[in-house]
Amino acid sequence: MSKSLLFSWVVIGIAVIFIPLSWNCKGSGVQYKNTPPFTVLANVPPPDTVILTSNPRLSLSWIGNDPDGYVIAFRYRWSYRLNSSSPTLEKPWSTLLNLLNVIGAGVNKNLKFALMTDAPVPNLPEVYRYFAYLPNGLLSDSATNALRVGDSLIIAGAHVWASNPITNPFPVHTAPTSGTFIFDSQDSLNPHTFEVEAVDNLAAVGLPAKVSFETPRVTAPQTEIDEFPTDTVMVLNDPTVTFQGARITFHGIDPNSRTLDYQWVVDKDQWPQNNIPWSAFSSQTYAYVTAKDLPDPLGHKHTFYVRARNEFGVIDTLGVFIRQVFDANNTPIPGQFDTIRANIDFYTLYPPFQLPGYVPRALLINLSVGFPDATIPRPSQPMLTDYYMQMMHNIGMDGKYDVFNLTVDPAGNESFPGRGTLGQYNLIVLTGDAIDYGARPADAKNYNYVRKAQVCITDVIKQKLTDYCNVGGKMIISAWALPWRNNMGVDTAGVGSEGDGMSYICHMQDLVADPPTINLIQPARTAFLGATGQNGYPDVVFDSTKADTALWGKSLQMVYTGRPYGFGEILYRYVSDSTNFHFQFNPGDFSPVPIVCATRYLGVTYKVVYFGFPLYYIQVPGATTQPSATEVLRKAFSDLN
Amino acid sequence: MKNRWNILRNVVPCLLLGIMVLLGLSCSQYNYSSPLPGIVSIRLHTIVDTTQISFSPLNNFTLTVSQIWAFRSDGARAEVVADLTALTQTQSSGSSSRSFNTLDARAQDSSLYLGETFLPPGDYTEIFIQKAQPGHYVVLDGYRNIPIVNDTIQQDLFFRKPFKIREGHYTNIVLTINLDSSLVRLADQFYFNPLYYISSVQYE
Repeated sequence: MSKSLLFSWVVIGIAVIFIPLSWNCKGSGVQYKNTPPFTVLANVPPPDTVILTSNPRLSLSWIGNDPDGYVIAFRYRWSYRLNSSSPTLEKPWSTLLNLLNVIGAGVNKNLKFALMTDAPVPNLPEVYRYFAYLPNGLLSDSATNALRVGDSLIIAGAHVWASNPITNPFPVHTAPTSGTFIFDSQDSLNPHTFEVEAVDNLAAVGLPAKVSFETPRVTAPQTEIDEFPTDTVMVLNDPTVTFQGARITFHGIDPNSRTLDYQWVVDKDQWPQNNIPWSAFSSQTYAYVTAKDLPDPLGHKHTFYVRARNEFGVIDTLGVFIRQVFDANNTPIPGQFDTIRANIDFYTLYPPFQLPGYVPRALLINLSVGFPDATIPRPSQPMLTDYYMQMMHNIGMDGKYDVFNLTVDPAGNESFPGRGTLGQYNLIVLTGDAIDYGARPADAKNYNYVRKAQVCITDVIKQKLTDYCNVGGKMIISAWALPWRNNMGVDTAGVGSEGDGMSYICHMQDLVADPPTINLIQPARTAFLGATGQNGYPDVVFDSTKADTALWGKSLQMVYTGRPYGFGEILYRYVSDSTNFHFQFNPGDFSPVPIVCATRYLGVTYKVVYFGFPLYYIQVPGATTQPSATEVLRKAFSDLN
Repeated sequence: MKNRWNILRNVVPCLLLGIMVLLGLSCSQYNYSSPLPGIVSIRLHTIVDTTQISFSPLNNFTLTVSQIWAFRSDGARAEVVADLTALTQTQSSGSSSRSFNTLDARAQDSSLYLGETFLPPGDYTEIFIQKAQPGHYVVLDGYRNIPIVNDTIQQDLFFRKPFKIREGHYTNIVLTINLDSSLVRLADQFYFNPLYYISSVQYE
């Protein structure tokens, strides 16, 4: 290696070592200033232009950007005034975190929403980090669910909540760059200026984007009542499993509003006028009124008031409107209008038997009108009533019950007790033991009677009994042919529904008449010889001394069998004559053929003992009491008390 | 020279073999001892007011579970199968669910087996019952089919209850269902509001 080459390498080495060492960053340059973000409102008229909107609801969109950073939030506010002489006021700033793609916490769980915060600008969280941190940019389910019901979260020290949870539908934000607002519109014309501005990652706020517009006054919605009780309703203080309250339905009318909610009150004039207990606003178009909603729970006549509120917050305070009447061709009839009111009168009864201090008392109702030319097989109404009164005497009920014998006026209207009467008694013994089997009704079209001798349980009567049960009543029913299709029968409302009295009240279903309606061997017409008791009830046999043997043979017909419904329990199984083997009770074998003819229902609220055979026509073998059916009735009283 | 090579050729393998033998003799025996398993037995106990619903063959309220797992403190888990002879809970049909009548008379005194299996000894932290689902009806007296209102409810039940499995011993765990609280009587239905808990852990 030559000396010159060595020298060159030494020089290069020194240069390589010392030149970087001599380099430094010291200097006198100036740091660039942060450039504030900017915001632009989309699709708005030129500045200094004022537009008139069709309603107070307006959707606005905007964008924001930051030349030297990124936008972490937007905040907006708007101006308003109370009236034309009021000064212009401004809403406080509302802040939206610039966090995209948050789904599920809004009114509709499938919609996106935005996150709002009350953190001051210097303390706003830099949400882009959370955007990256959360899976797919979404909140976890538990956080979403919390936001959905209006709870808040803490993100980087900031108090954060959903823009429009279930409880607060407005303002609607599906993203931080848009919103649907409802602007204050108390006056006939309401000027507003909406401004929105972006906040960057250094907490700098740019110039706001503005738009000015005027909104019209909002008209109030109208409210109309649809359904209400037309008869007296029995009410209790609190709902039970069988009592919800007096149901009243209603609806509101407001073509400008996408949503309506309602609040209601009963007898608003009777409450302290500075403290009328209007219900909370709800979108439900029905109300269940209980005694707690009444200023006088024991009062009879009440007035129900309802008022709608539209999405602009305007409430129907008028409570009445006029509606044009149309003819059959849907043509307006000049000068004819209906007055529609948002209030309605209705009547309630708090059953006395549910009041403290009530002294128990029973009511014996005899549905049988009997036969004019009474015989033992075809008894008169007094004979039947006397028969039951004798049994009540045996049980020790003298002086503890009243008797109601049904009558029918020439027009065919029966005199069944009203709810006001039923509510006086904690126990009702309902009997309909007489039918004229073997002879056709004089008027076959007259279905108000079962074979001429017994008043049918019409829908009106059935509803009264159902209402009585629903508020906690007790009933003992002994009736011949009660399930007959034109008597209490089976209703199209379906088994277990209130309209189906046999299953709802008596707790019997799948009823089979004699002759059966199911496709089985046809039994002889003489069928019911007695019944085998269960659950402590004595066996019973048909009292053949009361048989019209010429027409009936030696047993009863039209004794319906079935099986219990719900919590109904078997009290008696049918015993037929030897020709009706498929009605026979086969111990230990569950037969698919319903063979039950009496049930007991000891429910949470009401209790019913139902005998599908008439007590008048049965005997209890071995019983010394007369009538011996007393033992059956005694056991029923024991069950219910 | 040739002799030296021959000597080396014979001596070296012998030396190597000798070294290997010495190394083999010097190796200690690995400890292959492993503890015997313990047995966990999970049983059902039903609390019910027998004046309302009795433990009778005519009464029935089923509880179906898919699988039962025991979790050890180190995160290991083992399936608790039907009995000690079962290898797996999954049947040939692919179903692994088991149904129990909570009103079985054996459930009155905690002797209705939900599962029993061998487990390695150790500290366990919880029992996991997968997909516990009530039946659609409560059958009373053999003829009253009372519908369950929310019978579609299906729950995964975690019971965080520490217990030990000891070598060669039984650990008896009793899972209690309180039907007085779980079955809320309505007019003609039951509302199912389940209340389960582990009421005892006993060691034999």
